Amino acid sequence: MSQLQPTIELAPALPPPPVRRRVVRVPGWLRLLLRNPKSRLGLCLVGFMVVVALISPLISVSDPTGFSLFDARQAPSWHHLFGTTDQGSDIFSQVVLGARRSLILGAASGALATILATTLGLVAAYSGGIVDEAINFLTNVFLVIPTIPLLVVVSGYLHSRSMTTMILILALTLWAFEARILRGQALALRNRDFVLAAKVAGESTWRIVFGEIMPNMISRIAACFVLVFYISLLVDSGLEFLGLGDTTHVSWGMVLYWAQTNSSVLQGEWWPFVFPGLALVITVLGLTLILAGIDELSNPRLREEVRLRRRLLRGLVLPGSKAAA
Amino acid sequence: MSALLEVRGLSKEFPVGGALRRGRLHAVDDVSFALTPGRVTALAGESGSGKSTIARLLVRLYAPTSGSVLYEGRDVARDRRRRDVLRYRSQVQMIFQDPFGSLNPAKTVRHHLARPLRIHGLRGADVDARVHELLETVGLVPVRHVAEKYPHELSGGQRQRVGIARALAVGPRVVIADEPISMLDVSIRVGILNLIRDLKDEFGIAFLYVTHDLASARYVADDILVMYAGQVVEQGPVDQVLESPLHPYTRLLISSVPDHERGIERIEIRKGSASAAVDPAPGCRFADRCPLVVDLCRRVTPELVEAGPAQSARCHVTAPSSTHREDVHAEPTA
Amino acid sequence: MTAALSSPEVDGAATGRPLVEIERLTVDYVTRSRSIRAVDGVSLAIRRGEILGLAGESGCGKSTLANAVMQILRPPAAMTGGRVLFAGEDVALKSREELRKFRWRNVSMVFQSAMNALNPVMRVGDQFVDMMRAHERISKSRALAKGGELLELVGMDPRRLRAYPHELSGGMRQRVIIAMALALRPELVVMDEPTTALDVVVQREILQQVGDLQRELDFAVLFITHDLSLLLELAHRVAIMYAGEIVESGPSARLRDEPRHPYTVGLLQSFPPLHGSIERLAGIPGSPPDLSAPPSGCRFHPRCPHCRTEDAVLYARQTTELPVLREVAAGHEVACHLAEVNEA
Repeated sequence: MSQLQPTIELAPALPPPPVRRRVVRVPGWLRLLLRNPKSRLGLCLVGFMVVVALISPLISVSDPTGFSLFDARQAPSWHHLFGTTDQGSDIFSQVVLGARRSLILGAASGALATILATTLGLVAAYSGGIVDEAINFLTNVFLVIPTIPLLVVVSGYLHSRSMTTMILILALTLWAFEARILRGQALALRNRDFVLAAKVAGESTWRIVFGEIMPNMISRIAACFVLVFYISLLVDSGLEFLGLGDTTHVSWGMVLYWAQTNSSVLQGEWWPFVFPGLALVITVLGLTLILAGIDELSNPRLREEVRLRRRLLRGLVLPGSKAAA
Repeated sequence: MSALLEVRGLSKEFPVGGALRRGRLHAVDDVSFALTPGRVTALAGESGSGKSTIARLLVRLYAPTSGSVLYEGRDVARDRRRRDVLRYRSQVQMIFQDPFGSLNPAKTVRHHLARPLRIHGLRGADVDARVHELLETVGLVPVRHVAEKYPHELSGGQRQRVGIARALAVGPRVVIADEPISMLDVSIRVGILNLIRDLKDEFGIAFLYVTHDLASARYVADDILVMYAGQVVEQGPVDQVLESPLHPYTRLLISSVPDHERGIERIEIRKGSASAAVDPAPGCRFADRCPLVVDLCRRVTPELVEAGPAQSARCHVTAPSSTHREDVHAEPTA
Repeated sequence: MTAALSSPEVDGAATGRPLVEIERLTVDYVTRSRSIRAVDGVSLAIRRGEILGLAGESGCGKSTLANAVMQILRPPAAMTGGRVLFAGEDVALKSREELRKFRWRNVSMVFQSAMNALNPVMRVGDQFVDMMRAHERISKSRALAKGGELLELVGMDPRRLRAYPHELSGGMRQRVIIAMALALRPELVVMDEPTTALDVVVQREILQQVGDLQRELDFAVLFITHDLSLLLELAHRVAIMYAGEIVESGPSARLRDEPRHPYTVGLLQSFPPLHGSIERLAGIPGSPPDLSAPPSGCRFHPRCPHCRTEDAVLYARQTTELPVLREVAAGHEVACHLAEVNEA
C-alpha cells in the first residue's frame, strides 16, 4: 500500500491533531442558530418564556383563579405585578402559569405534526409507486380540512376540551401541508448519487430513508416544527378568546377572554389585555425569528456564499489553521 | 484467466414519449462482454450510448429487460432474496461520477466507509481498523484526521478517493467505475487513474471503466468496448482498436479528441438524429452520420463480426459478415 | 495537410491598441469573517480579433476575472484594485445605461450550461426577439428573421426558432447561446467553459464552428476552460492562471512546445496521449491552495518539483518572494524564479 502515491502533501512530521476539550458541548445546530442574529434573538425570547414557564409555580400565588373582591380590578402594583382581574385574581400568576400550557401545547402539537409529516412525506418520496399515491391521497384529504372550524365544531360536540384533544386536532390538521413540502425535498434527494451508493452498498430502505436522506433535511424539519408550534399557539389562544376553551384552566387566551367578557377596556383597564397579549407576542415573535434564522441558513443565496468560500478554500484543513478553529 | 462477471445479450428498454406516444428506448441492446480479474475493460461512448445504463444494470440499480448477468458462472439477474443480493453486492461495487453528489453531506468520511462494512457483518474495532486501512490504500493520510472530515471539507480529488475507498470497503472482486474522473480538475485526474491501475495490479480487481474520453481509456484500460445508441459497435484490445479502428464511429471519436501533440485535421461531422435508439428500425443506427454508408446499411442491422485478432466491429463495410460480403461490394456508395 | 482550428498568427502591429486591457486587477470576496483574494493583480490584454485562452483549474479565479470584464460581479465579490479598459475606456466608470449597452453590444458572454441562459418556458425565437428588442428598436418579425439568420450562421435549421430549449440537444442549445451572443456583432465574446458539459464529438463541432465564425466575423474571444489541450488547438494566445495570478502567457504554439512554468509543464503532462508510448504520468501532486491563506512566496511552490531545500538560495526566494511576470521570448511571459535564474 505504500507503493501507491499519496496525494496529500502535508508537512512530514505532522503532530496528531490536539483533542479539544470543551467545557460545554454545544451541538452544531445550536451554534449555527446562535450565529445568526435573527435566530439568536428568537432563541433568547423563546428561552426566556421557557424559563418563566419552568419557574412559574415558584413565582405565582397558590390559587391563581382565587376569588378576592378586595383585590378586584387593581392596576399593576408591587403587590400584583400585572394587576388583577375583576374577580381579584392575580394576572401575573395567570400569565406565568399560562406560559406552561401554551408552550406544552405548541411543542406537543408541533412534535406530533412533524413526526407525521416527516414519516409519511419521506416514505412517500422514497417508495414511489402505489405507496406514494396512497399517501398523497391521504395528504390531500387532510389538507382540505380547515383547522379552526373543525376545532370549533369539536369543542362544541365533545364535552372534553382538554389539552390532549386540542393537541391531537391541531396536529392532524396541520401535518398535511408540511408533508407535501418534505416529500418534495426528499424527492430531490432521492436521486442523488450518495443515496444510490448506499443502495449499492446494500443498505436497507429504512436506513436509507431515515439514516441517509433525513439528516439532510433537518433544517426543513425543524422549520416545520417551529411553524406548527406557533400556529398552534395562535389558534389555541384565539379559540379560548372566543370562549371555546376550558374555562377552568389558566392560559393566556383565557385571561383575554375574561378581560373581554368583563368589559375591562370599557372600564379603562388595560392590564388584563396587555400582559397576556404581550406574552403571546413575545413567544410568537421569538418563534418567527427562529424560523427566519433557519430559513436564512437553508437559503440558497446564503449557501452560495458559503459554497463560494468553500470552493476557494481547497485542501485539507490543517490543525492550528484558522479554518480548523 | 476465466471471466468473473459475464454479460450475455443484456438489454434494457425504457418507455418514452408522452401519454399518447408510447415508444420504447432501447438504451442497451443485446450487449455481451466479460470482465476478468486484473484487467480493466473500458466502456466508451457518448451520452445516450447506453454505457451508464450498463453500469447501473451491473450494480443492480436497474433490472434488465432481457439477457443474463453471470457472476462466477451463475445468473444473478433474477436473484430476489436479500441474502443473494447482499452477497452479490459484496463482490461487485461502484465508483460514482460526481465527487460532490456521491457523498452524503451530513456524514463523515468514517461513516461512508463504515456503513458498507457493518452491513456485511464487520463489528467493533475491526471496523475502525479497516476504515484506516482503506484510507491509506487510497492515499488519504493522515487517516485519523481524514476520517473525521465532512465532504465539504475535502477537495474534489479527495472526495473521489473516498468514493473509491468506499467501493473497496467490502473487498469486491469487480468494480464498476462510472466516469470517475470526468468531474475532476485535469491535474487531479491522472492521480485517480494511477490509483486504478495500482489497485488492479495489487488486488487483481476486474474494473469496468465507463468513460467518454478515449485518451484516459487508453491510459488505464486493457480492452475497450465502443458503444453507440445502445449497441456495442467495436471491441478489442485498447491499443489495437485505437491504432486501427474499424468502425466509422470509433474513427470519429478518435479524431474528435483534442490532441495538442499532433496537428489536427478538420473533420466532417454529420448530424444524426437524437433518437436512433428509440424503436429502432432495422439497419445500422449510425447510418445517418456515416461517411461510408451503403444501401445495405439502411436495410439490415449489421452484426458484431470478428475482423482482426481479437477485434470485432459492427459494420457492413469494414467488418462485413460472410453472408453480406458480396452485397456490400455490389452496391454503389449511397 | 493540417490546419489548426484558427489561424495562428494575428498581426499585432496592424491591430494597434488592444481591445481589452486589464491592469493589475484585484477582486476580493468579502464576507463577515474573512476576505479572500480571488484575482490578485492580474494584467492581461486581448487584441482585436484574437482568441485568447485562459486556462486554470477550479478556484483559480478565471471565471471571476471574466465576470469583472463584463462588470457582472455579484456580492460578496468586489473589484478592489486595478482597472479594466475596453477600447480605452474604464468599464468601471460607465453609467448603468452605458453598461447596459456595453453588455451584449460590445461584449457578450457564453456560459457553460446553456440552461442557465435559456428560459425553459419560452420558445427560442421569442428569446431572440426579447434580447434584440432590449437593445434596439426592431419589429418582432424583423427580429425573428434575424434570429433565423443567426441560427443558420451557427449551422442550425432556422425552423428551430419554434422549439423550446428542452426539445433541443445539449449541443444545439449551446449553438443557440452562441448565436444569441453574436446577435449584435460584439467585438468580444467571453466564453466560460462553453463545451465542458458536452460530448467530445459535439465539442469538436462547436469548436470548429467557433473557429469558423471567428475568422468570418473577426471578433475577439476570451475562451476560459480547464482543458488546456483545447486551447492549444483553438487559441492564438494562452494565459495560464493559478491561485489568482497569471503564471505564464504567450502564443499557444510556444506554450505547447516550450512551456516554462512548472505548472504549465505539469498541466501538459496531465493529458494521457492518444498515440505513442504510454508512460506513467505524474500529474501534479497536491491540490490548489486555500486562497484565504495562500502559500508564502510563489504560490505554486508546495507542489513544484523544482522547489527543493537543497538549492537554499533559490528555495529562500521561492518561499518568500512572489515571482513577477517577465518576458522570456517575444510575447512569452513567465512568472517563475527558476525561469529567471535560467535566463540569467
